[in-house]
Amino acid sequence: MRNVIISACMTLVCFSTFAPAATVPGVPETRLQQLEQRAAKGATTTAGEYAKELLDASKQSIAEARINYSAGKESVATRQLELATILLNAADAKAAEKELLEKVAVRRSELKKLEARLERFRQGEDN
Amino acid sequence: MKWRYLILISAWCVTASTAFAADKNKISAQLEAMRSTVETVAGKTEGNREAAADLDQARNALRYADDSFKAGKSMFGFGDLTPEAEKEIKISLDTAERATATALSRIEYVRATAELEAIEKQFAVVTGKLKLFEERKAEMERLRGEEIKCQVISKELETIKAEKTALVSQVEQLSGERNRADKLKIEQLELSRTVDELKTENARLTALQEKQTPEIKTAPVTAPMPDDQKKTIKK
Repeated sequence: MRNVIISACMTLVCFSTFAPAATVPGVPETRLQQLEQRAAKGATTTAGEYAKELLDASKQSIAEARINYSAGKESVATRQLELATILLNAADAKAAEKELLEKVAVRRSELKKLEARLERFRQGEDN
Repeated sequence: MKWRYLILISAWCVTASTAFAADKNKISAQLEAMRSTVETVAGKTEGNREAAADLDQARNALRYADDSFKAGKSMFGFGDLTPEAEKEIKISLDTAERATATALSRIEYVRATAELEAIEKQFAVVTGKLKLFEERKAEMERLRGEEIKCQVISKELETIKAEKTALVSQVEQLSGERNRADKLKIEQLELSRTVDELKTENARLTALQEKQTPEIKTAPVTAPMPDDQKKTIKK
């Protein structure tokens, strides 16, 4: 009975520790390089100005994915690549959003000035 | 003896599961919270395909996290999550969070685009009105300039009228003088003709006198000569 219990415990420990790691290791180098190039290119665009922290986070995620692929932790590495992709998308979207919001703010301000000027015309102050 | 072992193992399992329950609950709560956030944001997409795609990615990430959560438990579900599973869950949660934030950015982008369009339309309307006002202002300034010019011209006209009046009076004066001069000329001509006639008469009388002189010398003087005849002879 004692042996059965010890065996059961050992089996449980083995399953809980090694089950998630039962993946085939491999480095999708092309995908990593594509993402690295995209991150580097993003740094030269408005994303580098408006969403630098997201680009930096994506670079870090790519680097960690590379390490994890090399270490055979493919599952974690795959998640990190996904995260890097999402971060790059987020950087593009955030940069576009911020750029547009700035433009909206500028145009709104210009419109307010024009409306104020129009009001002065209407009041007869600017004639 | 075997009962004692069984009780000990059961107690260990209960203790372990209780000890790690807090962590598991925390992860479950995080997953649920994230799922709730994703669905809340999904209600705001309003047909935004890009945002919907981002939210699909977020949902996929949450599914991965669920899978990792289920598969990553050691000790047949009673033990702690493996470090790798924990890491996967954390990454998947980050992915879901970033994807949701991206969806929000895209929703905000669409809203801002609509706002910008509205602003541009209003801009065009206000610019058009301002243009009208500015044209009116320019027209008023032009008219004011014209008015000033008119005032200057009016003054010049007054001056010219005054000069004209003066000139007319000068012309009238000169015309009068010219008429007088013409009359004088005519008088002069008449006088010249009279002088010529008188000269002719004088000559005739002189000639006649010279003819009659021998007769006078012989004949006695009968009557004295009138005074005007004497003057004519002198001339």
